[in-house]
Amino acid sequence: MEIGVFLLFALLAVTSALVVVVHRNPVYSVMSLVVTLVSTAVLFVMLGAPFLAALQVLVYTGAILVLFLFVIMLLNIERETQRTNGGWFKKLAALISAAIFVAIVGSISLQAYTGRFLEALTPESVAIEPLARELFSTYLLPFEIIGLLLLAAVVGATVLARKQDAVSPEKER
Amino acid sequence: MTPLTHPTGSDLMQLAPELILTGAGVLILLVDAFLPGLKRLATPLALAAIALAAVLAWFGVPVGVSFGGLLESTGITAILGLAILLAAFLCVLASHGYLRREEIFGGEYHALLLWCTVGLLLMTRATELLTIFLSLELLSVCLYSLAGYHRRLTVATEGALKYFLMGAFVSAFALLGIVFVFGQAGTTRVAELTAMLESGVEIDPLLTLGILALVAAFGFKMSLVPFHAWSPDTYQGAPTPFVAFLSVAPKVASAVVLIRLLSLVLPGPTGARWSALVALLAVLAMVVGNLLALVQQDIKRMLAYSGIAHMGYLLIPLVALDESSWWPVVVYLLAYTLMNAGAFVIIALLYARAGEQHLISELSGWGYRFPLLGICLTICMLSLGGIPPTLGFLGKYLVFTHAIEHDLLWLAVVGVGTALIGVFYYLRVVYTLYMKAEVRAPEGLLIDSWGRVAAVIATVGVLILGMWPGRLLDWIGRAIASSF
Repeated sequence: MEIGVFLLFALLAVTSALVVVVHRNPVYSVMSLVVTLVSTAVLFVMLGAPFLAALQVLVYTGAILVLFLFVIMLLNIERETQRTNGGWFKKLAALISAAIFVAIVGSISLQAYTGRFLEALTPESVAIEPLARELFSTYLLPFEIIGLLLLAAVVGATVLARKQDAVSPEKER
Repeated sequence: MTPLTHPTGSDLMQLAPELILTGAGVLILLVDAFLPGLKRLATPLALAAIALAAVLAWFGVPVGVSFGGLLESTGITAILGLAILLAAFLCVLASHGYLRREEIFGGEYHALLLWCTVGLLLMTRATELLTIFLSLELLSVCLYSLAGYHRRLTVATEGALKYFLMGAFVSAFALLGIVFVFGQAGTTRVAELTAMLESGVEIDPLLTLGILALVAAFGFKMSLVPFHAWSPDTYQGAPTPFVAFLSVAPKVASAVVLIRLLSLVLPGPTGARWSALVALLAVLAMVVGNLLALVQQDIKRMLAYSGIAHMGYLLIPLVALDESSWWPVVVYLLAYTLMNAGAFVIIALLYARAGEQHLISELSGWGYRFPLLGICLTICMLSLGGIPPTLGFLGKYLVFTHAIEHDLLWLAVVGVGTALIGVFYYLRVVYTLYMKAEVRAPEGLLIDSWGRVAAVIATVGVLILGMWPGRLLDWIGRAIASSF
């Protein structure tokens, strides 16, 4: 049963991720990204991390992808106009990325094979209450830095998006 | 259930400079929003906050670990914190006239600058990878928006966008690195990582890859060569007084993190390969930076490439990293802060057409028209070139002696050789200032006393500390000795 659910959602995640990259209509790409993220959320639940799964759905599927859709629809992009099909430099980059990917996956699988792994997370350690305790005691400082980071991001975005200052055309340089 | 650990009074005292700067940023924003008539107060307010933060950073912050090992203050972080605050101070001083001249004066500029300084101060002291990453993000977000602050200019938007895209990519890289390190070591604390690596466990390739990704991320912030492509374009579009900050402060903080990362791996079994990598990065930065600076006609681009070269010199003491490396590194960073920020402050005053090319030839003969600024720029250029009675010479001297003492004569030779190329293009600016006939009349310049003060502070610092370095070296020596 469990392996069946895993296989179903793992396949779904990989296939929809491929569609994201390959499809030429950006709206379809975003919609299949929704499928990818929800499937990964299911995988998180199966790993015993319901909080992470909830965050994944809320933040990524709920907020970020809606934003993507908004932008795509506002700009009215129907399909990619430029086919990026590129020179030797891009092929080299793709080759190197593929090599690194294989090396990383190989290295991780090798560790799984030799059995040298960190301790598994227990349900207690990923439950919401211990998480909150850690966040507001040990990691209070990083938590507060995030607060300032968000404030700075809001101010920065306003600065970059504000209307151009009222300057007469001849002063425009 | 474990009891909650609350931050103690001494933890809060550790954060005093950051709290002051954050609060001042918010205050400036509120004044800007609700009392627009008092808008111009932003400059003195920001200056006062930075000065207060500097006093607190030096006298108020207790040395030691705080927040359960997330932050660690030492004599070295205190000195480099002062260097960062000094860069922010000079930037605010020089920005006043520039922002008025370009009619873009607004409190957001000062607020973002102060918050960026907070991020930098935290990053120099953070000893836990997540805290380091979040400080990096905080300062990066502020830097991106400040780089594009001059909204009317297409080059500003272009430069900021380039910086943002590459920066976001690099942040993802850093995060990936942290994930690998955590996945292998089970901790994100630098102290625990050090202990683990010293206990002689086998270093897994994934851990190496993680640290490599982190080194690349901070190499990007220091604009080392292969990660340098953003810096000339971003410098060209960003407000010039802000470049005085952008070109020094993030590099100071990133250098500290880079040293923390390298001290993890350099003593280990793969240490020799890591020092070869650092040596390669140093040589690349020195050669590429200096050669490309040589052919630039635009003074901001020239200084961008020369900044790349300076980071190459800075890497030389890291090839043979030990406690004695801090000495040249700290002196070099201080010198670089003063002379590079000084040079950009003066350029901000002498070029009026923001967003267009700032050709070196436009300065022809202006050494006589603006005697004070001319002399200041000359001294900064001499110091950047490493010519004797200046702090820049002292920095280069210490870097090269460190290399020779550690049997890296070849690296010192490469350094001296590329520095000679540097002297050529720095002196070209001085030559243009004094030996050529004027080609343009000053037009639209706004040289105010705030800007003049900034130029004089930087120049006097470079000159006095370079001529009588005894006190400075004593001071740095004591701070370094107390850090171990």
